[in-house]
Amino acid sequence: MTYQSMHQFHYMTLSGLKTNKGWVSPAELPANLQQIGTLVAPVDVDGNLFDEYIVTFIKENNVGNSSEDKSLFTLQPSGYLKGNIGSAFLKFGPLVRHGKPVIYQYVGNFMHPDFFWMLVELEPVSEEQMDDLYDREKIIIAGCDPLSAYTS
Amino acid sequence: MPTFFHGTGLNDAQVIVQGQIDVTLSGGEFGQGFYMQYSKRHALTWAYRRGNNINGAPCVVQIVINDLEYGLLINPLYIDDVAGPALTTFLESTNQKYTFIHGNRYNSIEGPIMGNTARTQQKLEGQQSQDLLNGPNTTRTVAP
Repeated sequence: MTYQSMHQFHYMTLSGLKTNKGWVSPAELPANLQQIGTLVAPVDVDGNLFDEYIVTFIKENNVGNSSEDKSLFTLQPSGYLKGNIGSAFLKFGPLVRHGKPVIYQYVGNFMHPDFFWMLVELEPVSEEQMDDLYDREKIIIAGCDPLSAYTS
Repeated sequence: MPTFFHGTGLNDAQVIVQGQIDVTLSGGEFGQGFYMQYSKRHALTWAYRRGNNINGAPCVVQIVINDLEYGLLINPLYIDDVAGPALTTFLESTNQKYTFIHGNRYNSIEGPIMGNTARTQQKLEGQQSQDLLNGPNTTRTVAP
């Protein structure tokens, strides 16, 4: 199995009205729209996480100088996705808001195999751990690069 | 002192650092204004995933505002995880994401990012906010 055929984390933002509300990539929003994004992941028809995901992360050396790499995250019996990035073991789970996971379809114009599935918003078990990883190692978890991973 | 971060491209960051922020040029979940957040990491992630829609290499501008001036000039309206998404839906349905300003009593809206109260954003609007952002009581630097 290759990276390309595995499910991935994506960085998306919400767009649209109630009737067609869904995820779009910040890369397809107008340049003057400052709407922050979040990590999302595809889920099966029952809304459950898949067993494995590829997670893209960026290590920033300084402005204009960064590198991307990938790591495998696997579903644990606890229901969280766990993986190793840099010196940290990180866990993500579905974000639950008002008693329900935040799940929408992708409604933008890009194409990716994951966009056939619904996408659930993720949250790290510890935001502080993510901050520490950035502070110490300049690593951010950014999901797929829209320019290389998506087609239009 | 209040410290915020704004993810953008390096060319636009240099304009910001020079004190040329125009709060009328951009829109977002809470309408027209200049958007910032407390997390440098989240601001940087946003910049990296904007694709070709940023002007220059992805980076973050750190904006530090003098306590006293901030307290005197900025009057935030705080909205929660119900009011935030409701405002966004209203602005989308009325096509006001680039034009809505609260005006009157408030010159800032602080609320959740996409309804997630674990992450908040702040939108500054109006001439008074713009003058403060660009003025000598605010430090603007491209964060290393």
